[in-house]
Amino acid sequence: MTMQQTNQQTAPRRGGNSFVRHTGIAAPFVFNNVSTDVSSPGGEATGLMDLGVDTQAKLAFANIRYFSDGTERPDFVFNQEQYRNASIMIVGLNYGTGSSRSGAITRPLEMWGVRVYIGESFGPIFLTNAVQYGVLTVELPRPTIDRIADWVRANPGIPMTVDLERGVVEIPGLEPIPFQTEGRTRNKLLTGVDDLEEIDPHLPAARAKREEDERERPWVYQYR
Amino acid sequence: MKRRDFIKTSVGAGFAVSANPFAARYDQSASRELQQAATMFDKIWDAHVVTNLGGDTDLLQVDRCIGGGPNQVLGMLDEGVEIANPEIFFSVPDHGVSTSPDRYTDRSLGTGWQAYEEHAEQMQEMGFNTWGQYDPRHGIQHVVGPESGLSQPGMVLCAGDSHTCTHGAMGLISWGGENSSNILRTGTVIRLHPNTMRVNVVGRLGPGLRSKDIILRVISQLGTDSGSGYAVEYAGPVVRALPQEARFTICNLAVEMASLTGMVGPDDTTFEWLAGREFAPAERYWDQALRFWQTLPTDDGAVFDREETVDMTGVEPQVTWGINPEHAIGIGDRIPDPDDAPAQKRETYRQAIEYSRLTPGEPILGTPIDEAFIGSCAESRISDLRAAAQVVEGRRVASNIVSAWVVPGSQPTKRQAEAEGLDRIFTEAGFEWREPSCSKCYGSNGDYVARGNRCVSNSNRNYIGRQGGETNTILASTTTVAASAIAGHVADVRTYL
Repeated sequence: MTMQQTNQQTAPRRGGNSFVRHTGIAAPFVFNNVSTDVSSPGGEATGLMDLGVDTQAKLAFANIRYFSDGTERPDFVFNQEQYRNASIMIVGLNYGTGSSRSGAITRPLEMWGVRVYIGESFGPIFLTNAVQYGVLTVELPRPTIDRIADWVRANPGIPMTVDLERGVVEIPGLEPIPFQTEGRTRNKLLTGVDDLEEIDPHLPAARAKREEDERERPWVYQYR
Repeated sequence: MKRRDFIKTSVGAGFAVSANPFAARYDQSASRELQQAATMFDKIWDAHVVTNLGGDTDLLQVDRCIGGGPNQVLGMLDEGVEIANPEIFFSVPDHGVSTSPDRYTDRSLGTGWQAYEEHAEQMQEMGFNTWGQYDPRHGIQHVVGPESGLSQPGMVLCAGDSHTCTHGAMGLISWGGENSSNILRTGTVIRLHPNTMRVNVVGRLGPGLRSKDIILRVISQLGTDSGSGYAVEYAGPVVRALPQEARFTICNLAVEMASLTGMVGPDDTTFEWLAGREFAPAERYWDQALRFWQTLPTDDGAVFDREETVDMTGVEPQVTWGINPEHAIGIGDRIPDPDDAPAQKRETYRQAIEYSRLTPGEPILGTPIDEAFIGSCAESRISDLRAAAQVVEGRRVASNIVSAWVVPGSQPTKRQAEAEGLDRIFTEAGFEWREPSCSKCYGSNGDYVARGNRCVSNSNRNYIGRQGGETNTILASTTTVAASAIAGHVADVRTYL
């Protein structure tokens, strides 16, 4: 399945999504330990659904994006004019920690087409989800993150390119910034291979292992 | 040779497994290196490797999947896909279930479980285990899994919910964020081998301190991000001395330090707690299982990628002031000043102070609260309820508290508590005694903290909006929550013992 480069409209599908490179405007959101509770809050508990904040896309970051009357908070980055079309987020330490909500990926993806997160580190489940939806996470040291965020603030509306194939962030006027991606994650994103496709050839081995295991640990299977 | 190097070359060699599933790996003369001391994590991981998928990524056998997932499951039923191992799946809807006592008569309460109930029969015919909200075993997944004996030492247990790490307290590997439907289709999961970390908890645990205080202290010392890329084993004399149910609380919050999972080595405490539970090994298998489990704990001399020590001596009951679990301080401490925070934490501290509406330099003790919540997969087991009841007995919830709830973690827990009269202690004090589910921990199904309110909560997350829009969460132990509900403000539980 191919994804639009920006402002994704259709509901993203889990699995089998590829990522090669992306060019877009970046939004600086360099806070530490931003949880999925923040990026993908429970709809009802926001108290905003009756005020029109009633779709997956609109619920992205709802608790810090809107005031309690449903109007936009100007301090939220995507509410600022220069970042409204951003599709790359510059984030801090342990971004996306917490709950296993895939909405942490899919809601910003649906709302703004966010395909890339550049941050110091990421929560483990966020990383799992990102790969599934063809979203790239780039880990860089904090000073580099801060430098990129400073550049973004000083150069509103100017796009950058994040190229997974070549492992580089290209920002106009700056030296290319290389980054590493764990081998299998990189391959999975580049090819868009789905987990099920990857597992399929090993199913006979998995079955054989379980049969053997059932003989060795019969108590695990006693109630089947 | 490093352990991982060995795995890369040995996996797929198809070595036979003898009486002890680990024995082959350790006895084979060709793998002398592996007779080296091993961590519990690696023993269990290695025994579950189906094949290596390149680098440090393995395909692992999954022994149990305890999930809610009607959406995923129903989608699969619609597609008519083949289910590889329906018997490993235990479907227990918890997030979508209301805790209202009216939920049994009012089908509009809660979300998602109605569709689930409609398909339960079909799922059962396919071999699923479905414990819906009317099942006498129903409750929060991470309470009922261990409570029913499903979660056993040496297993790999995966599911969707992030607090699946809780089960690791049984001496198994468990984590959340997985796609349950893929596990059902294949009985396996793909995972990058994490680094290993051991957190040794030492010193003397002061009076009134519970395992929640221990894990909040650990997270505040090491950081909400400290477990990123790691699987954590909690060890040391303080953890070793904890009863089994207290260990679940520790492992429950492993994900709050961004660890893939949390584990505690199984011991007699674990085995005795497990014995006799519905899904525990039957008598004919018990001795065999026990011998196997006793091989699981980390060997002396095993090397972890990282070791940390946290000393509990002199540590006071812990409460959070800010917007992530690392923002925990002692009950006698003052609210920190962002200007004094380390440079890279300053912006988040400022955000936390602004959001929490607290004043830097003020004591956290005495901070006014509006609501009190006891429940969640962190601390809603029978021992937690007993401890809270002890604080509450003969006292009254303060008049400024607009909502004080006790939500038992499961139906068996609720029945046990009622048999002991704990429900009456709570209700006579002014608490509401609710039906089991996730509830206010994450704000759903009408169970959320009211806008603008501050809630002292024994749950596990205090992120912005976690319990509802514009709400503040103060995380604390169950007994600190109970004491604070009585006091009407953040209280020192030690004065209520």
